[in-house]
Amino acid sequence: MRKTAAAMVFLAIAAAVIFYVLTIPSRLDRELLASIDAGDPLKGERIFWAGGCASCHAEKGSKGDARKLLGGGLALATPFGTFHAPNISPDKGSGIGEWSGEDFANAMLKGVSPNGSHYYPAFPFTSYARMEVSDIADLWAYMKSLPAVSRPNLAHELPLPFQLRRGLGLWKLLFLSDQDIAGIDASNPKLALGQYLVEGPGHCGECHTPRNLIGGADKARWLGGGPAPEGNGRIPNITSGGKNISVWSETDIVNYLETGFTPDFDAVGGSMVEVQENLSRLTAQDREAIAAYLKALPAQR
Amino acid sequence: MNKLFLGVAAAAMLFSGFAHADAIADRKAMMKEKNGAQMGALVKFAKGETPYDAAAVVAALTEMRTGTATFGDLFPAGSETGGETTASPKIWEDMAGFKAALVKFHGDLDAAIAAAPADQAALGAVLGSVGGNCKSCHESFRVMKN
Repeated sequence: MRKTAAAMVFLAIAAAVIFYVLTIPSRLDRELLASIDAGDPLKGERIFWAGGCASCHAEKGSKGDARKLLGGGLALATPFGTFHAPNISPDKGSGIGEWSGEDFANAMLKGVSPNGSHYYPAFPFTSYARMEVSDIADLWAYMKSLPAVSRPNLAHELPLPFQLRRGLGLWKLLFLSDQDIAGIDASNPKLALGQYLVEGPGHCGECHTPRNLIGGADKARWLGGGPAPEGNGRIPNITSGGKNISVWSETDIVNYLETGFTPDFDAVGGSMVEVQENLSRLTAQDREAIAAYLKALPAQR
Repeated sequence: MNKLFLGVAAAAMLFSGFAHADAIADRKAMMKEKNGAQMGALVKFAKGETPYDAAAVVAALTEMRTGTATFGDLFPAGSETGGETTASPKIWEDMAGFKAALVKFHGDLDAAIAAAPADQAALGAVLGSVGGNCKSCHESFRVMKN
Protein backbone atom coordinates (compact mmCIF):
# COMPACT_ATOMS: atom_id res chain seq x y z
CA MET A 1 0.00 0.00 0.00
CA ARG A 2 2.71 2.40 1.02
CA LYS A 3 4.70 1.32 -2.00
CA THR A 4 1.78 2.13 -4.29
CA ALA A 5 1.37 5.55 -2.75
CA ALA A 6 5.07 6.25 -3.12
CA ALA A 7 4.94 5.13 -6.75
CA MET A 8 1.97 7.44 -7.40
CA VAL A 9 3.78 10.40 -5.85
CA PHE A 10 6.86 9.59 -7.90
CA LEU A 11 4.85 9.38 -11.11
CA ALA A 12 3.08 12.66 -10.36
CA ILE A 13 6.38 14.41 -9.75
CA ALA A 14 7.89 12.88 -12.89
CA ALA A 15 4.87 14.02 -14.94
CA ALA A 16 5.16 17.53 -13.50
CA VAL A 17 8.86 17.68 -14.35
CA ILE A 18 8.23 16.42 -17.90
CA PHE A 19 5.46 18.98 -18.34
CA TYR A 20 7.73 21.71 -16.98
CA VAL A 21 10.57 20.83 -19.33
CA LEU A 22 8.37 20.37 -22.40
CA THR A 23 6.57 23.66 -21.91
CA ILE A 24 9.56 25.94 -21.21
CA PRO A 25 9.12 28.96 -23.48
CA SER A 26 12.15 28.81 -25.75
CA ARG A 27 13.81 31.95 -27.03
CA LEU A 28 15.89 32.44 -30.15
CA ASP A 29 19.65 32.12 -30.29
CA ARG A 30 21.12 35.60 -29.73
CA GLU A 31 23.65 35.15 -32.54
CA LEU A 32 20.81 34.70 -34.99
CA LEU A 33 19.53 38.13 -33.96
CA ALA A 34 22.82 40.03 -34.34
CA SER A 35 21.32 42.24 -37.06
CA ILE A 36 17.92 42.75 -35.42
CA ASP A 37 18.48 46.44 -34.66
CA ALA A 38 19.91 47.28 -38.09
CA GLY A 39 16.63 47.11 -40.01
CA ASP A 40 15.48 49.47 -42.76
CA PRO A 41 12.11 51.09 -41.94
CA LEU A 42 11.39 51.79 -45.62
CA LYS A 43 11.62 48.08 -46.43
CA GLY A 44 9.73 47.33 -43.23
CA GLU A 45 6.59 49.07 -44.46
CA ARG A 46 6.11 46.39 -47.14
CA ILE A 47 6.39 43.68 -44.48
CA PHE A 48 3.95 45.59 -42.27
CA TRP A 49 1.24 45.47 -44.97
CA ALA A 50 2.10 41.90 -45.95
CA GLY A 51 1.76 40.90 -42.30
CA GLY A 52 -1.67 42.48 -41.94
CA CYS A 53 -0.74 43.86 -38.50
CA ALA A 54 -3.27 46.69 -38.80
CA SER A 55 -6.20 44.30 -39.32
CA CYS A 56 -6.17 43.41 -35.62
CA HIS A 57 -4.03 46.09 -33.98
CA ALA A 58 -5.49 49.26 -35.59
CA GLU A 59 -8.91 50.66 -34.82
CA LYS A 60 -11.62 48.64 -36.60
CA GLY A 61 -12.87 50.44 -39.72
CA SER A 62 -10.10 53.06 -39.68
CA LYS A 63 -8.74 54.19 -43.03
CA GLY A 64 -5.58 55.75 -44.45
CA ASP A 65 -2.91 56.84 -41.97
CA ALA A 66 -5.10 55.79 -39.03
CA ARG A 67 -4.15 52.20 -40.00
CA LYS A 68 -0.72 52.98 -38.60
CA LEU A 69 -2.05 53.72 -35.10
CA LEU A 70 -1.57 50.35 -33.44
CA GLY A 71 -3.33 50.86 -30.12
CA GLY A 72 -5.06 47.49 -30.40
CA GLY A 73 -8.70 46.88 -29.75
CA LEU A 74 -10.08 44.16 -32.01
CA ALA A 75 -12.00 41.51 -30.07
CA LEU A 76 -11.50 38.11 -31.69
CA ALA A 77 -14.27 35.69 -30.70
CA THR A 78 -13.09 32.07 -31.04
CA PRO A 79 -14.28 28.67 -29.79
CA PHE A 80 -11.66 28.99 -27.01
CA GLY A 81 -12.80 32.41 -25.76
CA THR A 82 -12.47 36.08 -26.71
CA PHE A 83 -9.04 37.53 -27.36
CA HIS A 84 -8.37 41.28 -27.30
CA ALA A 85 -5.63 42.46 -29.65
CA PRO A 86 -3.06 44.38 -27.56
CA ASN A 87 -1.42 47.75 -28.09
CA ILE A 88 1.72 47.26 -30.25
CA SER A 89 2.42 50.95 -30.84
CA PRO A 90 5.74 52.33 -29.54
CA ASP A 91 4.01 53.80 -26.47
CA LYS A 92 6.21 53.25 -23.41
CA GLY A 93 3.42 52.68 -20.93
CA SER A 94 0.71 50.73 -22.73
CA GLY A 95 2.48 49.66 -25.95
CA ILE A 96 5.76 47.95 -26.79
CA GLY A 97 7.97 51.04 -26.45
CA GLU A 98 10.16 49.36 -23.84
CA TRP A 99 10.83 46.26 -25.95
CA SER A 100 14.22 45.39 -27.44
CA GLY A 101 14.63 44.09 -30.99
CA GLU A 102 15.26 40.68 -29.48
CA ASP A 103 11.97 40.82 -27.60
CA PHE A 104 10.18 41.62 -30.85
CA ALA A 105 11.88 38.78 -32.75
CA ASN A 106 11.00 36.29 -30.00
CA ALA A 107 7.38 37.39 -30.08
CA MET A 108 7.16 37.07 -33.88
CA LEU A 109 9.18 33.88 -34.41
CA LYS A 110 8.65 31.98 -31.16
CA GLY A 111 5.39 33.33 -29.75
CA VAL A 112 7.16 34.20 -26.50
CA SER A 113 6.67 37.48 -24.59
CA PRO A 114 9.52 39.58 -23.14
CA ASN A 115 8.78 38.19 -19.67
CA GLY A 116 9.07 34.67 -21.02
CA SER A 117 5.50 33.46 -21.22
CA HIS A 118 3.71 31.93 -24.20
CA TYR A 119 1.45 33.98 -26.45
CA TYR A 120 -1.87 32.54 -27.53
CA PRO A 121 -1.91 31.56 -31.21
CA ALA A 122 -4.70 34.09 -31.84
CA PHE A 123 -1.53 36.06 -32.59
CA PRO A 124 -0.39 34.25 -35.76
CA PHE A 125 3.22 33.55 -34.76
CA THR A 126 2.51 30.06 -36.13
CA SER A 127 2.85 31.69 -39.57
CA TYR A 128 5.29 34.48 -38.71
CA ALA A 129 7.71 31.76 -37.50
CA ARG A 130 8.54 31.23 -41.20
CA MET A 131 9.74 34.82 -41.68
CA GLU A 132 13.33 35.82 -42.40
CA VAL A 133 15.15 37.54 -39.52
CA SER A 134 16.08 40.37 -41.91
CA ASP A 135 12.36 41.02 -42.57
CA ILE A 136 11.67 41.00 -38.83
CA ALA A 137 14.46 43.56 -38.40
CA ASP A 138 13.02 45.82 -41.14
CA LEU A 139 9.52 45.50 -39.68
CA TRP A 140 10.84 46.34 -36.21
CA ALA A 141 12.56 49.46 -37.56
CA TYR A 142 9.31 50.50 -39.25
CA MET A 143 7.10 49.85 -36.23
CA LYS A 144 9.35 51.92 -34.00
CA SER A 145 8.82 54.83 -36.43
CA LEU A 146 5.03 54.80 -36.02
CA PRO A 147 3.17 57.11 -33.61
CA ALA A 148 2.78 56.05 -29.99
CA VAL A 149 -0.82 55.44 -28.91
CA SER A 150 -1.67 55.46 -25.22
CA ARG A 151 -4.34 52.83 -24.68
CA PRO A 152 -4.34 50.18 -21.95
CA ASN A 153 -4.77 46.56 -22.97
CA LEU A 154 -7.90 44.55 -22.19
CA ALA A 155 -7.52 41.12 -20.60
CA HIS A 156 -8.52 38.13 -22.73
CA GLU A 157 -11.79 36.49 -21.70
CA LEU A 158 -10.99 32.79 -21.52
CA PRO A 159 -12.39 29.92 -19.50
CA LEU A 160 -10.14 27.51 -17.59
CA PRO A 161 -7.99 25.65 -18.65
CA PHE A 162 -7.15 28.10 -21.43
CA GLN A 163 -6.23 30.80 -18.90
CA LEU A 164 -3.10 28.78 -18.13
CA ARG A 165 -0.55 29.82 -20.72
CA ARG A 166 2.04 27.27 -19.72
CA GLY A 167 0.07 24.47 -21.40
CA LEU A 168 0.57 26.25 -24.73
CA GLY A 169 4.10 24.87 -24.65
CA LEU A 170 2.69 21.44 -25.51
CA TRP A 171 0.51 22.94 -28.24
CA LYS A 172 3.56 24.61 -29.75
CA LEU A 173 5.45 21.30 -29.83
CA LEU A 174 2.68 20.03 -32.09
CA PHE A 175 1.97 23.08 -34.25
CA LEU A 176 4.85 25.57 -34.23
CA SER A 177 7.21 25.05 -37.14
CA ASP A 178 9.37 27.26 -39.36
CA GLN A 179 9.26 24.81 -42.28
CA ASP A 180 7.51 25.38 -45.64
CA ILE A 181 4.10 23.76 -45.90
CA ALA A 182 3.06 23.21 -49.50
CA GLY A 183 5.22 20.99 -51.67
CA ILE A 184 5.81 23.23 -54.67
CA ASP A 185 8.75 23.93 -56.96
CA ALA A 186 10.94 26.03 -54.67
CA SER A 187 13.57 26.54 -57.40
CA ASN A 188 11.12 28.87 -59.16
CA PRO A 189 11.81 32.29 -57.56
CA LYS A 190 8.28 33.56 -58.24
CA LEU A 191 6.67 30.55 -56.55
CA ALA A 192 9.16 30.74 -53.68
CA LEU A 193 8.28 34.40 -53.07
CA GLY A 194 4.58 33.57 -53.21
CA GLN A 195 5.07 30.71 -50.79
CA TYR A 196 6.97 32.95 -48.40
CA LEU A 197 4.35 35.71 -48.49
CA VAL A 198 1.36 33.36 -48.12
CA GLU A 199 2.77 30.89 -45.57
CA GLY A 200 4.84 33.44 -43.62
CA PRO A 201 3.90 37.09 -43.11
CA GLY A 202 0.59 36.91 -45.02
CA HIS A 203 -0.64 34.19 -42.60
CA CYS A 204 -3.40 33.27 -45.10
CA GLY A 205 -3.61 29.75 -43.67
CA GLU A 206 -4.77 31.04 -40.28
CA CYS A 207 -8.25 31.54 -41.74
CA HIS A 208 -8.22 29.66 -45.05
CA THR A 209 -7.01 26.34 -43.59
CA PRO A 210 -9.42 24.39 -41.38
CA ARG A 211 -8.39 23.76 -37.79
CA ASN A 212 -8.51 20.52 -35.81
CA LEU A 213 -10.23 20.09 -32.44
CA ILE A 214 -7.43 21.67 -30.46
CA GLY A 215 -7.06 24.60 -32.81
CA GLY A 216 -4.06 23.51 -34.86
CA ALA A 217 -4.02 24.01 -38.64
CA ASP A 218 -4.96 20.84 -40.55
CA LYS A 219 -2.04 21.04 -42.97
CA ALA A 220 -3.34 18.10 -45.03
CA ARG A 221 -6.14 20.45 -46.08
CA TRP A 222 -3.87 23.46 -46.62
CA LEU A 223 -5.84 26.53 -47.78
CA GLY A 224 -8.86 24.32 -48.43
CA GLY A 225 -11.26 26.66 -46.60
CA GLY A 226 -13.47 25.97 -43.63
CA PRO A 227 -16.05 27.39 -41.28
CA ALA A 228 -15.56 31.07 -40.50
CA PRO A 229 -14.06 31.57 -37.03
CA GLU A 230 -16.68 34.28 -36.51
CA GLY A 231 -20.23 34.55 -37.79
CA ASN A 232 -22.10 31.96 -39.79
CA GLY A 233 -20.21 32.05 -43.08
CA ARG A 234 -17.46 29.97 -44.61
CA ILE A 235 -13.91 30.90 -45.47
CA PRO A 236 -13.34 30.04 -49.14
CA ASN A 237 -11.10 27.32 -50.48
CA ILE A 238 -8.31 29.24 -52.26
CA THR A 239 -6.67 26.30 -54.01
CA SER A 240 -7.61 25.38 -57.58
CA GLY A 241 -10.14 22.96 -56.07
CA GLY A 242 -12.16 25.97 -54.89
CA LYS A 243 -15.04 27.62 -56.69
CA ASN A 244 -13.16 30.81 -57.56
CA ILE A 245 -9.50 29.91 -57.98
CA SER A 246 -10.47 26.99 -60.23
CA VAL A 247 -11.82 29.41 -62.84
CA TRP A 248 -9.84 32.60 -62.15
CA SER A 249 -6.60 33.17 -64.06
CA GLU A 250 -3.48 34.43 -62.33
CA THR A 251 -4.31 37.87 -63.72
CA ASP A 252 -7.81 37.66 -62.20
CA ILE A 253 -6.30 36.87 -58.78
CA VAL A 254 -3.78 39.72 -59.09
CA ASN A 255 -6.57 42.10 -60.07
CA TYR A 256 -8.73 40.97 -57.15
CA LEU A 257 -5.90 41.49 -54.65
CA GLU A 258 -5.20 44.93 -56.11
CA THR A 259 -8.75 46.30 -56.61
CA GLY A 260 -11.08 44.07 -54.61
CA PHE A 261 -13.18 43.20 -57.66
CA THR A 262 -13.73 39.66 -58.94
CA PRO A 263 -13.72 38.97 -62.71
CA ASP A 264 -17.52 39.42 -62.81
CA PHE A 265 -17.33 42.58 -60.69
CA ASP A 266 -18.54 41.20 -57.45
CA ALA A 267 -16.67 43.02 -54.67
CA VAL A 268 -14.61 41.63 -51.82
CA GLY A 269 -16.50 41.43 -48.52
CA GLY A 270 -16.26 40.59 -44.84
CA SER A 271 -12.89 40.40 -43.12
CA MET A 272 -11.19 39.93 -46.52
CA VAL A 273 -11.72 43.66 -47.26
CA GLU A 274 -8.98 44.66 -44.83
CA VAL A 275 -6.72 41.90 -46.10
CA GLN A 276 -7.22 43.01 -49.70
CA GLU A 277 -6.52 46.65 -48.80
CA ASN A 278 -3.30 45.60 -47.10
CA LEU A 279 -2.24 43.50 -50.09
CA SER A 280 -3.02 46.37 -52.47
CA ARG A 281 -0.09 48.20 -50.80
CA LEU A 282 2.45 45.50 -51.77
CA THR A 283 4.32 45.56 -55.06
CA ALA A 284 2.73 44.19 -58.25
CA GLN A 285 5.49 41.57 -58.22
CA ASP A 286 4.38 40.41 -54.76
CA ARG A 287 0.74 40.04 -55.85
CA GLU A 288 1.81 38.14 -58.98
CA ALA A 289 3.87 35.78 -56.83
CA ILE A 290 0.93 35.14 -54.50
CA ALA A 291 -1.32 34.38 -57.48
CA ALA A 292 1.23 32.01 -59.02
CA TYR A 293 1.63 30.18 -55.71
CA LEU A 294 -2.14 29.75 -55.25
CA LYS A 295 -2.53 28.36 -58.77
CA ALA A 296 0.41 25.98 -58.19
CA LEU A 297 -0.99 24.53 -54.94
CA PRO A 298 -2.35 20.98 -54.82
CA ALA A 299 -6.13 21.26 -55.29
CA GLN A 300 -8.21 20.74 -52.14
CA ARG A 301 -11.80 19.55 -52.53
CA MET B 1 -45.79 15.32 -29.42
CA ASN B 2 -42.20 16.40 -29.99
CA LYS B 3 -42.28 14.86 -33.43
CA LEU B 4 -45.47 16.70 -34.28
CA PHE B 5 -43.94 19.94 -33.07
CA LEU B 6 -40.79 19.37 -35.12
CA GLY B 7 -42.88 18.53 -38.16
CA VAL B 8 -44.88 21.72 -37.85
CA ALA B 9 -41.71 23.75 -37.26
CA ALA B 10 -40.03 22.19 -40.30
CA ALA B 11 -43.08 22.86 -42.45
CA ALA B 12 -43.19 26.45 -41.23
CA MET B 13 -39.51 26.92 -42.02
CA LEU B 14 -39.95 25.42 -45.47
CA PHE B 15 -42.96 27.60 -46.14
CA SER B 16 -41.22 30.80 -45.06
CA GLY B 17 -38.28 29.69 -47.19
CA PHE B 18 -40.50 29.45 -50.25
CA ALA B 19 -42.29 32.68 -49.45
CA HIS B 20 -39.00 34.58 -49.42
CA ALA B 21 -37.13 32.65 -52.05
CA ASP B 22 -38.24 35.30 -54.54
CA ALA B 23 -36.82 38.16 -52.43
CA ILE B 24 -33.50 36.33 -52.21
CA ALA B 25 -33.46 35.49 -55.92
CA ASP B 26 -34.50 39.05 -56.81
CA ARG B 27 -31.79 40.72 -54.76
CA LYS B 28 -29.14 38.33 -56.09
CA ALA B 29 -30.20 39.04 -59.68
CA MET B 30 -30.32 42.80 -59.03
CA MET B 31 -26.82 42.73 -57.57
CA LYS B 32 -25.49 40.84 -60.60
CA GLU B 33 -27.29 42.62 -63.42
CA LYS B 34 -27.55 46.17 -62.12
CA ASN B 35 -24.34 46.45 -60.11
CA GLY B 36 -21.87 43.84 -61.35
CA ALA B 37 -22.63 44.03 -65.05
CA GLN B 38 -22.76 47.84 -65.14
CA MET B 39 -19.58 48.14 -63.10
CA GLY B 40 -17.90 45.72 -65.50
CA ALA B 41 -18.92 47.88 -68.48
CA LEU B 42 -17.81 51.07 -66.72
CA VAL B 43 -14.39 49.70 -65.80
CA LYS B 44 -13.86 48.75 -69.46
CA PHE B 45 -14.50 52.39 -70.40
CA ALA B 46 -12.19 53.64 -67.64
CA LYS B 47 -9.38 51.32 -68.74
CA GLY B 48 -9.88 52.13 -72.42
CA GLU B 49 -10.78 48.54 -73.25
CA THR B 50 -13.99 49.93 -74.77
CA PRO B 51 -13.73 53.18 -76.80
CA TYR B 52 -14.91 56.01 -74.54
CA ASP B 53 -18.59 56.92 -74.96
CA ALA B 54 -19.79 59.56 -72.48
CA ALA B 55 -23.48 58.90 -73.15
CA ALA B 56 -23.07 55.16 -72.61
CA VAL B 57 -21.19 55.85 -69.37
CA VAL B 58 -24.04 57.97 -68.01
CA ALA B 59 -26.51 55.32 -69.19
CA ALA B 60 -24.65 52.60 -67.28
CA LEU B 61 -24.47 54.77 -64.13
CA THR B 62 -28.19 55.51 -64.46
CA GLU B 63 -29.00 51.84 -64.92
CA MET B 64 -27.10 51.11 -61.70
CA ARG B 65 -28.95 53.92 -59.88
CA THR B 66 -32.52 53.19 -61.00
CA GLY B 67 -32.00 49.44 -61.19
CA THR B 68 -31.07 49.26 -57.51
CA ALA B 69 -33.54 51.85 -56.21
CA THR B 70 -35.62 49.16 -54.49
CA PHE B 71 -32.68 47.03 -53.30
CA GLY B 72 -33.31 47.91 -49.65
CA ASP B 73 -36.86 46.48 -49.87
CA LEU B 74 -35.62 43.00 -50.77
CA PHE B 75 -34.62 42.04 -47.23
CA PRO B 76 -37.98 41.36 -45.53
CA ALA B 77 -38.10 39.55 -42.20
CA GLY B 78 -37.92 35.83 -42.95
CA SER B 79 -35.47 36.19 -45.83
CA GLU B 80 -32.46 35.91 -43.52
CA THR B 81 -31.65 32.39 -44.66
CA GLY B 82 -32.27 30.09 -47.62
CA GLY B 83 -31.60 30.26 -51.35
CA GLU B 84 -27.82 30.33 -50.81
CA THR B 85 -28.09 33.87 -49.54
CA THR B 86 -24.83 35.49 -48.52
CA ALA B 87 -26.64 38.27 -46.65
CA SER B 88 -25.14 38.75 -43.19
CA PRO B 89 -27.42 38.61 -40.12
CA LYS B 90 -26.06 42.10 -39.43
CA ILE B 91 -28.48 43.48 -42.04
CA TRP B 92 -31.41 42.65 -39.77
CA GLU B 93 -29.55 43.51 -36.59
CA ASP B 94 -28.74 46.96 -37.97
CA MET B 95 -31.34 47.68 -40.64
CA ALA B 96 -30.87 51.45 -40.15
CA GLY B 97 -27.13 51.16 -40.79
CA PHE B 98 -27.77 49.01 -43.85
CA LYS B 99 -30.28 51.49 -45.28
CA ALA B 100 -27.88 54.37 -44.56
CA ALA B 101 -25.17 52.60 -46.56
CA LEU B 102 -27.61 52.31 -49.48
CA VAL B 103 -28.50 56.02 -49.22
CA LYS B 104 -24.81 56.88 -49.42
CA PHE B 105 -24.33 54.57 -52.42
CA HIS B 106 -27.25 56.16 -54.25
CA GLY B 107 -26.04 59.65 -53.32
CA ASP B 108 -22.60 58.92 -54.81
CA LEU B 109 -24.31 57.59 -57.94
CA ASP B 110 -26.48 60.71 -58.26
CA ALA B 111 -23.34 62.84 -58.01
CA ALA B 112 -21.60 60.68 -60.62
CA ILE B 113 -24.51 60.99 -63.05
CA ALA B 114 -24.67 64.77 -62.51
CA ALA B 115 -20.93 65.03 -63.11
CA ALA B 116 -21.30 63.20 -66.45
CA PRO B 117 -17.61 62.15 -66.62
CA ALA B 118 -16.24 63.24 -69.98
CA ASP B 119 -13.10 61.12 -70.21
CA GLN B 120 -11.31 58.07 -68.81
CA ALA B 121 -9.61 60.01 -66.00
CA ALA B 122 -12.85 61.62 -64.84
CA LEU B 123 -14.61 58.25 -64.91
CA GLY B 124 -11.76 56.68 -62.95
CA ALA B 125 -12.27 59.18 -60.14
CA VAL B 126 -16.04 58.63 -60.18
CA LEU B 127 -15.63 54.85 -60.04
CA GLY B 128 -13.33 55.25 -57.06
CA SER B 129 -16.11 56.90 -55.06
CA VAL B 130 -18.97 54.73 -56.37
CA GLY B 131 -16.97 51.48 -56.19
CA GLY B 132 -15.86 52.13 -52.61
CA ASN B 133 -19.48 51.51 -51.62
CA CYS B 134 -19.33 47.93 -52.93
CA LYS B 135 -16.51 47.01 -50.59
CA SER B 136 -17.62 48.94 -47.53
CA CYS B 137 -21.14 47.52 -47.68
CA HIS B 138 -19.91 43.97 -48.30
CA GLU B 139 -17.43 44.35 -45.46
CA SER B 140 -20.24 44.90 -42.97
CA PHE B 141 -23.24 43.16 -44.45
CA ARG B 142 -22.18 40.10 -46.43
CA VAL B 143 -20.73 36.74 -45.43
CA MET B 144 -18.95 34.27 -47.70
CA LYS B 145 -20.58 30.88 -48.15
CA ASN B 146 -18.60 28.95 -50.74
